[in-house]
Amino acid sequence: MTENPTLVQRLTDLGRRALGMRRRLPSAPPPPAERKKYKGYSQWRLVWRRFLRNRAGVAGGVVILFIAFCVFFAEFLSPHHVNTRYNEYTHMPPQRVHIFSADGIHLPFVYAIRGYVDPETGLRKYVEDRSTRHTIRFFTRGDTYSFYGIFESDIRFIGAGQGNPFFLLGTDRFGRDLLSRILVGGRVSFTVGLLAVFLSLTLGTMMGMISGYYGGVIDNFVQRTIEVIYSFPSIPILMALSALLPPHWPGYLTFMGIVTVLALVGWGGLAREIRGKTLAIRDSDFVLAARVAGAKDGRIIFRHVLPAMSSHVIVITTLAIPSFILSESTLSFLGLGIKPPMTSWGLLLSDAMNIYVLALYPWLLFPGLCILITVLAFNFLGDGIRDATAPFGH
Amino acid sequence: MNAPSTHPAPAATEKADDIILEVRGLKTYFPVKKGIWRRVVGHVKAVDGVDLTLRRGETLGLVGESGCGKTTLGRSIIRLIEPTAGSIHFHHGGERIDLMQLGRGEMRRLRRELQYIFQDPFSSLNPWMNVFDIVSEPLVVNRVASGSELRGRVESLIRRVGLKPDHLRRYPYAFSGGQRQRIGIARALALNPSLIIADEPVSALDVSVQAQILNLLEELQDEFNLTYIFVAHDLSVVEHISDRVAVMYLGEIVETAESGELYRNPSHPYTAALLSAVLDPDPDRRPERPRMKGIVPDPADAPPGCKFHTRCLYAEPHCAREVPVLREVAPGHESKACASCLERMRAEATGRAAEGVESASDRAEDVPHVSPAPLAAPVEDADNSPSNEGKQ
Ligand SMILES: Nc1ncnc2c1ncn2[C@@H]1O[C@H](COP(=O)(O)OP(=O)(O)O)[C@@H](O)[C@H]1O
Ligand code: SF4
Ligand SMILES: [Mg+2]
Repeated sequence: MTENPTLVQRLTDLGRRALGMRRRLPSAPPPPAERKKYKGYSQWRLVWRRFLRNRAGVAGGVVILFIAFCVFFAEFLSPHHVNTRYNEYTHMPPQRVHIFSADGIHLPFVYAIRGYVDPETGLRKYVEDRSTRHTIRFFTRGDTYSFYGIFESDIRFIGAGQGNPFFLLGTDRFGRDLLSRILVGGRVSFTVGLLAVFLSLTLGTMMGMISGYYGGVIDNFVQRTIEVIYSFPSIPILMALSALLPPHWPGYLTFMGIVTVLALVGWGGLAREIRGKTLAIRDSDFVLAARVAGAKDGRIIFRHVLPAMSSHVIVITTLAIPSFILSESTLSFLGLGIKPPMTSWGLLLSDAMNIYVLALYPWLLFPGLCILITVLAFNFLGDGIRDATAPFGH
Repeated sequence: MNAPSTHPAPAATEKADDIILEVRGLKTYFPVKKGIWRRVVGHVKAVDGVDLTLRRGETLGLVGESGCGKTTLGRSIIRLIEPTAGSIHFHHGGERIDLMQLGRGEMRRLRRELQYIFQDPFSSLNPWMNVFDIVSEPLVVNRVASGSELRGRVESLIRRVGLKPDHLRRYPYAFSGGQRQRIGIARALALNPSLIIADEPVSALDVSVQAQILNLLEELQDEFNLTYIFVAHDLSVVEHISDRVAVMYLGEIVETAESGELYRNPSHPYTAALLSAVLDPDPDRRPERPRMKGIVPDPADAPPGCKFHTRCLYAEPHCAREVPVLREVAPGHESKACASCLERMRAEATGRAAEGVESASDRAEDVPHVSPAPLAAPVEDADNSPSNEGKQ
């Protein structure tokens, strides 16, 4: 993950500039007035109050909550089944939603679509068939799906009647609905990021804290191990490791395999950060004070070092998720990650791999836009939390 | 306690034998590591052969410029930093215990008797814990009290240091420096220790607050029969509170004496230089006392011979070769100065005395004025003082 943070950071800065937001510098300790006003509040409440004042951070958080909601209810929200092929609608561009027609105003609707082959170019073209309107309906019947194996249902959030063309973000070369695929694939990308961060955080926190707190030989060993991992460029080593996953594995095993590979390569960075912070806290006066009070190592670690580190951990976790998402996308894009029939943003993006496809079917870039937005949102959120914790983190 | 210019109370002399702490040949070296292999290329001799003897109930002032090893010495004595060599004998319950021989667990249990007050009132309180958790921690981890008894003890501690029980559920950021230092003092007091090492407890505070904290420490000493090692970089603070003063330079004690004696009769050029720095705010009158040149050398590369020779105004060629030893220059007054520099100091002092009655009387008056001006102003930062609270 060594090269990703710079890329991610650059994207974040770009995004910030685009939105006209300046990076907020961590502010000074609270002024006396504020000290007085909030004096009964715990650190967490203070951090929360500060965070709420950071527009970019809050925006990032809201976007992430929205994305999380969407990918969690992906099947319900998507108009079609991810793998249903509409052979007569391949590579169809995003469809327009209308409320006006020749005979007046209606509820939002789409026209029926007629496809034909352009005699000059030999490509498929689509025109709206203005004689047939399909009204957009909510909580309507569509393809059957299973909600995490808990129950089956054919009620979908949105649709224009079963079997009717309704492709708000267009279709891919098999005539599959891109919006549905983005929603379901997003769940894979999102959960890969979360799980990989969870795994590498567990590993990284343990190794980092042990390394920092006890120092000496243990520290040396852990640090050298991390250096060895980091002495390889991350993308090739990720590719090599994921190439080891057996191709005949079922989807969920490949998924877990990718998560493991990402975590194995990525824990070092987290461990290093945690180690640095542990070192600083271990030698801080309040830990010495606990020692003077007679506290043992266990209490010092759990009552003093961990809480003091928690905000830092949250920040580095939030900032690490996007790089895991990017790595997964990279792997899947290169065909070494998630395998069909499962899909992910990276895999979807691989459909737009060549310039010819891109020029003809630019809507295939939508998954890329999703990656970009998610990555930026996580970075805004992470920066927001960091700024919010900085002044009180002593 | 003792007014600045009086001799220690007779009681202290009576208890002369009642030793609480003997430090002998204490050394704490920090390895200096370089290069990718982190090879040890030398040592910072932060504490380099210190002898100290403390009597029960007395206050020993420990003075020296920043970086001369006061914090390291204080922490080494209670093994918060592991000393490299030497012995630390602590007299407790009729026993003479060598702290250096204790295991980690035994040392942890004995820390109940040996407490520490930190210099920085901000970093020494965990910002994630409220005041109750901070002050009760020593009682909790030593299983001294729990439940309502714990609550009661913590409340009386917090009252004793001048805060209010409803401050207990607040977090450190809500307090001023002086109030935070009071919290630190309550924590140090919780286990009813016999020795407290106070590492520059007032140097981070506003001048007006310093006096209040010093007074609090003095009251507590009488009330709980405490012995203090009181660290300061400034002789004026130490003089006010100490029975005896030890002057430290580059890891060594260069002079010790009863505090009045030290101020009247400084017998090491370094002490004299420190005194000249605090005595007189008027720069025109200061040069009459000897000063020093330059700054503290890098302790990783301490000068040979008398460590002070690079800065000493009396230095002679032999100073760079011969290591002076601590010798008694008057009863209870030891100095590491060599014979020749003592002579020159004395000569200068007499020379100055001969110069004129006027300047001599000026100097005599200087001594009582050493006590810090802040003593006059007993108001703690008004915006946060407990008494102001009802008004918001
Ligand atoms: N943990 C450490 N590692 C290396 N050097 C240290 C360490 N702690 C202190 N020192 C060095 O030891 C010397 C004495 O420091 P200190 O005891 O803090 O002095 P003081 O309290 O008198 O200002 C300084 O030069 C400091 O840089
Ligand atoms: S021994 Fe020499 S260098 Fe050291 S204090 Fe005396 S005169 Fe100065
Ligand atoms: Mg110090």
